[in-house]
Amino acid sequence: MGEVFLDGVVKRFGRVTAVNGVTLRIRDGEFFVLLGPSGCGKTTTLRLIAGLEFPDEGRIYIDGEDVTYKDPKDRNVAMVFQNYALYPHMTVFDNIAFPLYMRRRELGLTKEEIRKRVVEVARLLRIDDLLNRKPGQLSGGQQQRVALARALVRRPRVWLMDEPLSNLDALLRLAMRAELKKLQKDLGITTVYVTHDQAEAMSMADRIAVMNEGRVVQVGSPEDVYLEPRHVFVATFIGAPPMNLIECKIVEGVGPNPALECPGFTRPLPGDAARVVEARGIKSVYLGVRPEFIAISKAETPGSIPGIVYVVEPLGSEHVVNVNIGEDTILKVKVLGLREKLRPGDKVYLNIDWSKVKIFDKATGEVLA
Amino acid sequence: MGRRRTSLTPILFIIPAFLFILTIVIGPSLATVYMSFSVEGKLTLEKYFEVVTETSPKKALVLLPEGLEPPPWGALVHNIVWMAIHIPLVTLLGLFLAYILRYTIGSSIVKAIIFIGMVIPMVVGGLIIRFMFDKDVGVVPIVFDVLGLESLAKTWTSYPQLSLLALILGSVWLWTGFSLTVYSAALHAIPASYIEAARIDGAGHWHIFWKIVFPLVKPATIIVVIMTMLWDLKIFDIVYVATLGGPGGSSNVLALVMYLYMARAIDYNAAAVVAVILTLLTIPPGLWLALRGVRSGR
Amino acid sequence: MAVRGSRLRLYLRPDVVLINVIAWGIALVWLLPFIGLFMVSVRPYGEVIVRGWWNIAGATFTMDNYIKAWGHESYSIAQGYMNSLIVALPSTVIPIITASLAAYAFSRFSFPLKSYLFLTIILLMALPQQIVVVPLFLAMRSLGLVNTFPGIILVHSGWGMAWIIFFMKNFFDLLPREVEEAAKVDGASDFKIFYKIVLPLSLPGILSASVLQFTWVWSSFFFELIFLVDPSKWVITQRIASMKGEYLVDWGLIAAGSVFAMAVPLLVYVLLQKYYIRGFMGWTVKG
Repeated sequence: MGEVFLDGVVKRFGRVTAVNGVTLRIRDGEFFVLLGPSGCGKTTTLRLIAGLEFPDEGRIYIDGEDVTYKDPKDRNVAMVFQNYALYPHMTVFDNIAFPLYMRRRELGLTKEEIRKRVVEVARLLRIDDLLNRKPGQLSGGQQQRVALARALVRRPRVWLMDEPLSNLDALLRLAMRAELKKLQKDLGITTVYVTHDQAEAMSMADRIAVMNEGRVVQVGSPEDVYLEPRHVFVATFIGAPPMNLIECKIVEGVGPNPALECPGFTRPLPGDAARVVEARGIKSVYLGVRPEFIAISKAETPGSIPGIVYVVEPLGSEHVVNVNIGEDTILKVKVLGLREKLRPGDKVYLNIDWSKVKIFDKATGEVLA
Repeated sequence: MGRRRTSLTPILFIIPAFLFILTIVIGPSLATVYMSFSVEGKLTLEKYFEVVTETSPKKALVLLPEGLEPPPWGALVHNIVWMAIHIPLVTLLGLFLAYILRYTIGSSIVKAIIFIGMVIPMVVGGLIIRFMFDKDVGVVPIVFDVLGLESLAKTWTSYPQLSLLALILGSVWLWTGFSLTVYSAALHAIPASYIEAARIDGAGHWHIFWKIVFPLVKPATIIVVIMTMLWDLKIFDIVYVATLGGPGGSSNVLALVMYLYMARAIDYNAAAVVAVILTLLTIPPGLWLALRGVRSGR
Repeated sequence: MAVRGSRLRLYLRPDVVLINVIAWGIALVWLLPFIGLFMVSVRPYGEVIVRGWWNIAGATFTMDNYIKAWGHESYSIAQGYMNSLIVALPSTVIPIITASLAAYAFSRFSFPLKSYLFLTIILLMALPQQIVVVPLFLAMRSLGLVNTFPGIILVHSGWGMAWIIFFMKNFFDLLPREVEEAAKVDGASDFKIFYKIVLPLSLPGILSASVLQFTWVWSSFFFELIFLVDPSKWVITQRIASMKGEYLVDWGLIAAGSVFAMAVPLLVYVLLQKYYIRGFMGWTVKG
């Protein structure tokens, strides 16, 4: 129970179109993440599902029921806010009990049953010793748990979360990611989770919708969006460091297919890409390659691309080596444990795993192959 | 397109308040305007003409009859004189005090003392004004007696030349707490670095005050001037208890004339005329406040 | 310590010493009338008029003036206190509740004509009381509300509405909206959100507005002069205003009555200064 369907939803604020024709089908029990930079419309989409905003166009369904213009209280959804939005004048107990008290009559709950459910959910989140405190007396992590408990206590159809971890410090945030994910799987509640942090999205989501400028750019599993980005925007937004983009020109090739002329090297276009390029008359493209699909070596091998080490960023277990391959094009290369010491100015040779390379149309940003 | 129904909630929230406002404020205000034009069932300007040209001491708006003690001014002129003296005094005194209190030990006590005038009932304020200018018990006449200024060593509120001045000075005493508080908040909002920078550049108190502080608190100055103007126009309580507009109408003001028409002369139409004139005078400053409030409310 | 040291040095500079003298001199002048009033109130009037209240040598101190004023046969302050309370308390509670509701609507909902209505509300704040009293008096007289406490309470409630709406709207604008949205998602209706979430969170604002409205009604004079004609209904301000006779002025009695009259607002101010000033600034600076 808890399938959400957005059908061509549009929301405008004055002249600004915050959400521009979003269609999404969120499956029952799924951990679904809306990912994108600030201002991309992800929070507005979440608020539309919550009923805090109403769309200008399109329809919203929960479990097949049209809830487009229903008030939040009639949707049976729960929401966790970025700053938790705990009721500052109520105890932790009253905060968690609040949604139950609001529905007391329709759920037919007695005071005792409410108490039992609050204690139960508080125990689940290990805040049962804090029930008599006020939110102001709690740490950030504890407030977070209270907010989660309040959203859990009435067993909603859908759980909505607006960057719930962004106010926690780094260490706690990592711990809460795992815990939240486990909680969601154990309870099986459909969850729509908004974040701008791609690492958070990758580590928690069953599926991710990447949004930009009010539109959904791509929907897919974390692997999909990471390995098969459908757009330059997804390629550069996901991954740290992001995908390398090399600007290349389409030129006359030696064989029947055209070739790619890139800084430092030239290479024939693969067959499927060549067909699209010719059909659309595309003149320049981006060659996209993730930093871990480039091998670095001090020795030249056939087909390797020469370059000069620009800077080396050590990141603990791995290093990111920035290599200048000419024409101010710098490629980031991820290396697990450096066998040889590399210094800025060293001459190196790069080998790209061509099977993992994506080609994007420079004009539209769409993937070609 | 299935639009969302317009919610009734906001209407339910504002209805009780608007019922009050309509019956107590807006309705009667419109009725007053109507009454001011209505004489025996006809709408005319007759009453306005009558009220404005009236010269009896208790009712005159512009001029008193010939031969009375100078100055021969009516209530409307008194209100204007009041503003002309009161507004600059209160503004400058408040700003000056707010500025020097930054360098004063126990400044919060000084502020609290000066603010008392804002807290007490204006009726008490009026009684104290009368008391302070009384030649038997008050301090002001006695100070002038010691200084040898015979003409000022008497009960000010009993002499036509002095009664208005006594009230205006008293109103400075009562109302300085207002400007001081507004200016203190405004000064507090000025970053200390501005003044420190000016000091390093070699500016003394005088220059810091006029070249840095005064321009920066301009919004506060506008508020003080407007609010003081409104207060001066509506002034009633202190005049009623200290002089009742006397002697011989020498300290009469618009609000008091309105009251005297209504309660003593039982001339409701004339009372309405004075009320409308008074309201017309409060509308420009009121409108300014309203537009500003709407803008800042965005 | 270093900070304290530099502060002390600042206070010892000649120009700053001069500033301190001026500031405290002004404070003393401002306080003088109150000292005088108080001295007159605690000494026999005969003594004051002969020797002056500032002359403390051999002064007699007595509570006679207070006792006389409290139980005065025609202008009993005791009765005035009672009447003022009967008027001021409901005249605070009623408009605070109604105006807060309206202010919340102005702060959170959108509805037709909203900005015009709000502009009207602010404009009303500038009106003089004189503009309403004539028709209001005639209407209330025909309804039998003149000379009654419910009548004057209605007038004060309606008159206070505009500024309280304005003040509370500004206050609500500063409350975080997320908490209300959370309650909305948690299933609360608009009214429930208002009294379960917004009202408790707005207590400081409500207290500020109440403190100001209460002291203003307590100090009010003009409306009472019009609507409470019967001396037995007179509130405290009317009573002390009438204590000054036309010819013989007993300043001892007036002074004691004045101290009684200002004691209540002063006490409210001293005890709730934070709220008083906040309300006061909300009334002026924001407006």
